[in-house]
Amino acid sequence: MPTTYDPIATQTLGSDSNFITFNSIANTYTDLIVVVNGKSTTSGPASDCYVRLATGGGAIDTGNNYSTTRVQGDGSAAYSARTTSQSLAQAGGVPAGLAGANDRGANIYHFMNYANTSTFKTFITRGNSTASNQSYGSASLDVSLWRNTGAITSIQFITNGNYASGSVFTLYGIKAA
Amino acid sequence: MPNTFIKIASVTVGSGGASSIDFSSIPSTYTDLVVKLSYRTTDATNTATLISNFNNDTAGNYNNRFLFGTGSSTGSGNYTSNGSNYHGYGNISTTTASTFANAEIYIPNYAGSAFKSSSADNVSENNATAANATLSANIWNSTSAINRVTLGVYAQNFAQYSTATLYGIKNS
Repeated sequence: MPTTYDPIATQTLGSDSNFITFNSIANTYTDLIVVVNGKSTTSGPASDCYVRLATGGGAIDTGNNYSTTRVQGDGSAAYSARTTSQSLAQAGGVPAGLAGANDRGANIYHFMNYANTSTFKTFITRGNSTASNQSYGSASLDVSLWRNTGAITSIQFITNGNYASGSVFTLYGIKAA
Repeated sequence: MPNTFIKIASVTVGSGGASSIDFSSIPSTYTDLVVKLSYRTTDATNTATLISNFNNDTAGNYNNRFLFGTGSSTGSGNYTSNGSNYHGYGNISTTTASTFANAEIYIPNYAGSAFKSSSADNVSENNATAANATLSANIWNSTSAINRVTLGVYAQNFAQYSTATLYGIKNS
């Protein structure tokens, strides 16, 4: 039985940081999954999270090449929104400064067919920013597009303020065979 | 390369049904846990609400947020200081025969020292107009490592052929 769900890298923040980046991602997998268990230091009850990408081992793309369609439930209403031609893709959310001290959110990112060089790249994010003190929180599903046909070689995760110390980011590779 | 997506245990409900599906003595040697579930209930009431508990804690230590669609409408709700994680509606005995609901519950960093968040997708399947898809975001207000996951359907029983499998994922 071949191993088809490989841990590629894990980063646990030793101090607060606005972003973390996985670089030098090989093109030997079929899909990528990233699991984020974290919190933002920003002053609000919860914070949006964002993704930027790079190809060819180059710099992170900060051009207006990202779009996202979101469906979200905040505990009282469901709504949907869309952002286009952004310099970063809205993707997931985590609890923030007004949430409980021990709260951590969960974002699960799926990057499908990330290594192909023919199509723009689409990824799906399941977000969880529910707080223990119920000051805020939501369940969200984001579908994002990066208008670039290059194979993804770097993924950067960003939040408002900083990801708090202790936030954990793990990158897995999935093989079709 | 290590095998990092590992089946820990699997349960198939027998002919008598079951009030719960229990995974106990979960080791702390993984990074994340995933439960994949196919289920139906024995009762003919209007709703079958899938729930889960950690470490046999049924006190009001869970907060839930959820987003759902029924095929004709959408909505969102929450429970504060709830007695369980909430995952949405499944199939009951009056839904189309042989149709089962499906769910996946993802629990990251289950052995860490922070409060435990979990996310779940849950869909009821039914060859009729009414169905339900729910995305839930839960937090268990405990710093304890999770060593037990108990699945249930609120005030109902799992029907025969319901299955649940617990997987452990390692990041190294």
